[in-house]
Amino acid sequence: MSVARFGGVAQFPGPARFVDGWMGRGFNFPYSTIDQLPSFQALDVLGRGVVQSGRLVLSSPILLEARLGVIRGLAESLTTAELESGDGRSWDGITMLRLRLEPPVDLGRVCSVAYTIDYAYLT
Amino acid sequence: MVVLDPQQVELSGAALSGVRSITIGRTPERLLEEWQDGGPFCIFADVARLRVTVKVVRWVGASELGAAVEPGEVSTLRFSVTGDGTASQRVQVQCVCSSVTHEAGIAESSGRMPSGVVQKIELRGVSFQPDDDPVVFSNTTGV
Repeated sequence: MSVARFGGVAQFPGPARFVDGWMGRGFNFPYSTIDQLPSFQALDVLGRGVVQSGRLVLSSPILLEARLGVIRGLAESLTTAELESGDGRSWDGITMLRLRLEPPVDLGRVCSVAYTIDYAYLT
Repeated sequence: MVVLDPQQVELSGAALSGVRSITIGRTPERLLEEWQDGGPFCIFADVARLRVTVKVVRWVGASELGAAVEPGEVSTLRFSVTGDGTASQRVQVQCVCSSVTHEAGIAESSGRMPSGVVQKIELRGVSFQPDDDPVVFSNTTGV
């Protein structure tokens, strides 16, 4: 299994797929509750964006929570870095905008959750 | 798991006679499969939810009023599996009855299954804790 990297670090243990799409103008809502909404930021997004979808796979719920915390931090701080798909494709200078989880968190042989991450080139 | 002619079968604390077979199946209720760019083959699979199905088949040779268990009823199934030596295993399954059906039996030429009624009891394994297997094995020193 090839491993995707962001900023040179394998941030996403588990399978991932990448769609190189186009975005118009995007908005970033870094807060999770409606009463924090006044502080949302509107971002200018030009050119193409990338959507990464996959499943984070860790050996325990604690490790999964920790990994989600790291990725959430990258998204909330609008981190810009090189994104590498692991199969030869890469997008340099792209910004991680948003992490979306698709519940439930599954606990079988391993602990995993499906996710989608939006990236874009910001002006 | 297939057990033919299980011994000392109990359901809800009462002895269950004429049991010919007990099967325990495990099927995925939530099967996770993932693919990745670059090829057609699945690269990740896991089973996050399991369904444990127990089927008890018994021959009923005399009239019975009422069933040993009713659909929806919580019960414990216990039986012994005899090994090739003297040791045997006791199996206990915590379950909920999902169905009780009957079929007219046909006599076998061997006489092992004489004419009568075949009763099929289907049960679903349930756990008190989500990570506890409802099927528990314990070693015994004999049947």
